[in-house]
Amino acid sequence: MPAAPKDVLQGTLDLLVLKTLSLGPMHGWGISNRIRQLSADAFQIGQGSLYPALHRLARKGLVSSEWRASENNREAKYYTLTASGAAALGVEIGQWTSFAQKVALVLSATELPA
Amino acid sequence: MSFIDSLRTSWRELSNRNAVDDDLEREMRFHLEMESAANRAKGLDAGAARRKALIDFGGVQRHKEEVRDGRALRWFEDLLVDLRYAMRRLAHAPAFALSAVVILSLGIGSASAVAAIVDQLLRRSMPYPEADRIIFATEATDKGEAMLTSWPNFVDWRQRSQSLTQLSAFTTQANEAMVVAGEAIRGTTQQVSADFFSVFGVVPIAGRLILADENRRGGAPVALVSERLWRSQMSAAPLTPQSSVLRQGRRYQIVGVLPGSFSVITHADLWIPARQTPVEVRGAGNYSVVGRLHDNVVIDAGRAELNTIARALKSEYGDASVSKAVVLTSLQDQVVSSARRPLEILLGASRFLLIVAAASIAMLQLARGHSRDRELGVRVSLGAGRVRILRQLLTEQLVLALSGAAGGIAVAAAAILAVRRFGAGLLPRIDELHFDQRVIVGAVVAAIGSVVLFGILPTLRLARTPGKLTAATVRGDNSARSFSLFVGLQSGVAVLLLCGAALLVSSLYRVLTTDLGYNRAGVVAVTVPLTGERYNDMARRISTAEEIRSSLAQLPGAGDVALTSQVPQQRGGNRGPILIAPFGNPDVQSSWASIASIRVVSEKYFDLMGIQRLQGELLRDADGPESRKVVINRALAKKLWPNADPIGRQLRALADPKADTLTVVGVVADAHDWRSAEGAQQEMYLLVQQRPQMAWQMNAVFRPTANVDATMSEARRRIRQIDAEMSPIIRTLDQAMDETIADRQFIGGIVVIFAAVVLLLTIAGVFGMVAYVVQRRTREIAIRIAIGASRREVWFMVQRGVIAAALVGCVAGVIGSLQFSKLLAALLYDVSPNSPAVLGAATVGVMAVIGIAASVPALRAVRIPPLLAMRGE
Repeated sequence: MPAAPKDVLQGTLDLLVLKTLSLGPMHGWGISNRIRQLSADAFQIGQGSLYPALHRLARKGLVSSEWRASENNREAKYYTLTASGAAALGVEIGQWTSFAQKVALVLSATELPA
Repeated sequence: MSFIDSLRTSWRELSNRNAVDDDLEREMRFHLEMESAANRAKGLDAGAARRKALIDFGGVQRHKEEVRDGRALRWFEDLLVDLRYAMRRLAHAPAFALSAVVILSLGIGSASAVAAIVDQLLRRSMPYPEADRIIFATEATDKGEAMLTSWPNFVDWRQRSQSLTQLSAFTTQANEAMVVAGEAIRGTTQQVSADFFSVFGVVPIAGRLILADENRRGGAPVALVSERLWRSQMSAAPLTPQSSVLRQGRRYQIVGVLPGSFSVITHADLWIPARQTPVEVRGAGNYSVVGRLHDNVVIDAGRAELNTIARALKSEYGDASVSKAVVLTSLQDQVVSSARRPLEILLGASRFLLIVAAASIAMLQLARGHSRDRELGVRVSLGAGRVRILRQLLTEQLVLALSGAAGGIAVAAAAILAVRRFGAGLLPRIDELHFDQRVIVGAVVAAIGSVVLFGILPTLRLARTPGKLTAATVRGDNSARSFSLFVGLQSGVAVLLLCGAALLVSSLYRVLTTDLGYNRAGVVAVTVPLTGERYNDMARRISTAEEIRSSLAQLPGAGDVALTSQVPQQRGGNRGPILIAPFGNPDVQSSWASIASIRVVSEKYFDLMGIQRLQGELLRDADGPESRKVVINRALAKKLWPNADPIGRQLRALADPKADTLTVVGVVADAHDWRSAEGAQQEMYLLVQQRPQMAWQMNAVFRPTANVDATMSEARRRIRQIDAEMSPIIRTLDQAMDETIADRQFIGGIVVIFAAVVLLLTIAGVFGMVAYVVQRRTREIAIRIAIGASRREVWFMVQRGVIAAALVGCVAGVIGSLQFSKLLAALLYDVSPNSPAVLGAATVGVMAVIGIAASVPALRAVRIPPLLAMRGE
């Protein structure tokens, strides 16, 4: 992936994390695994970068966390989307879609507007 | 998330820092294990699976730091770490830390104490309602010099003025003997006319004010006392009809107590009514006037109106009225103007001291720089960020600054207490000084300011250099330059303050040693009041004075005893214009008339005081009460008859209660009042018998040959025998002189202390700089010596920088002191503020001291063995 401005990258990562969690509570490794699967390995983000993002979202109150037993019966920290997280996800998706559409519009232009 | 939640999270993170870190650790470990397991499932062996997991994760520590960076109070955590580290570092260098804190405390303490004193004395408005509308007025000479106001003129001002209200007159007698509750004390009395207290809206804390009737002639003798006197002498007991004070032989019933905050111009202990009396003549000023501006009247309008009234009075009363001008200022300005000069000097001196203290701290830090560079170099190579290092260094500065501020606050509190205690009476309202939060704020601001100015400079350098340790460390160029700057600064301020101290001290020395025109050595003055009902009979007054004189003359070893209404240096007494013959000729009067004060003396006075007869003859007791002879001093003779022989000339004094035409029979030398800026006061002398009206205060002076202390106490006993209620003030003229120079001594003493501290710091600075140069260049010096450099060359090499810096500083200091001494000029006696001798001596002195301080470490440099060049570190 080409180098992107940090805040864009960060915002994108936050969006992906929130989207992943909207499918159900998950621990850090699970989130990173799922993003890899869903994006068909397109995002080669260092897996460690996930944790600052998760803590950032937790600080903003968009996700909550608790320790509980994982699928292989080990203690893992599970993150859950909160109500405000779900709301934020909606807003972010809207913004992202509109942004993507505008970019697509520019890219598909064939001549200058009159 | 609400603000409260965010605070709570921050707090939890901060208080459970370890728990949170632990949580993160476990979370990441779980991730890596899961990833390794997944990798193994793809067929990698255990080691490879773990390695791949770690690589994919991308730096566990880095991500942990990122998480921590996200915390809101990260800066605070760092601050705690830095603080701990700074404390530890300072504890490792206790000598440095202690000297830095002590120097800073002294600098900050003195600066903030002086600033608080100046602020409280000069800027704080007076605690009266609409204090800015209170005015202070007196008659003035044509040249605008303030004089005292006569009672008749004051009464006319009050009747005619439209723009001023509540005009009231008062006069102050300092250092009066009085008896309260059976104990003789000395205090200051203000005699005040009606309305005086309403000008200030003051409310007594006990009893009542003086009533209008009591301010009329024949009113009951009543008095108000100060809260201080009430508490110290009367144990703050309730007032009864028996509460009374005895003053000038008269008993006053104490009817009220005024709050401690009340003081007009000077702090008084006793207030009594001023009344119209027959001695109040239009020509003799005795009073100052206060009042209030009417609403909507500006002070200029009030001043203009009073001047118009004064001109009208002058044309109505002609020669009988003294002046045709008035000076009128706000009372606040009047109070402040007398104190401004000395306080500005102290303020300036204390700021210079603070600057030098801060420069010394900076130099201490520079000197520590060597070890610092290495430590920082290690930390940078271990991966510490530049900003992080800068912050840590600044934290260390902050710890120093705050310790200095704390020490400074303690020093300031002690200094304010000391000034209150020892400075009482030297400056107006000094007993109202107190320690307040502004001192604290001032100290903290001064501490941070000085550390920012002088701590950040070296810090920035340190933070910049660690990358390229070698060049800067070995040559030490930067530090040497900063050192030069600070040495220059220190020596400049040292010259400046030393000049100031030298001027003040030599002025005091001149006052004490110069020939003031009389000989005070060994003279004892017994001062007694001769007023009150008992002495209103002039014959009685004269006989009592004579009785005192002869009684004291019988003391063993007393010798001759002379009488005088005022000894030299003592102020007071009638002062007014002199008219000279031919009288009634306005041309002669307006061009020649001059103001003189009248003293009454006995025959032996001039002889006993060593006041020389210059011309003609002196007064003789045998001349008797009807004598028309007068003796004038040289200053008055020169003023009245600059080109003619004064003997046999006639004059009249408006302040003379008898208003006789007098004939000049003799001229005596001036007895200088050294405080007078205009030179010798103009004086005329009459016999006590001629004017007993003016002998309401009498001094018996004599020069005991035997045991002075015993003679003084015996003198007191004899006075009591003559009048049991009389409480004399007995002291030598040397003691009286000490009192007149006390304020100069106070200012001079403080400037001397400041100068001494600055000089010490300069010595330390110069020593430190040369020692630093020698330490840095030890090997170089060894090599130079090894290849044949002479000791002299080495000697000059290590001192060159410091001496050059000090020379530049001294030149700047001399230029600065030319400015500083302008402030001092008003306090100096017989010393030019720009005296080349003083400037030269101070500069040479500072340079000599610097030379000595520099040569001690330089000597060490000269003795560096050349072998050292061959040894490694």
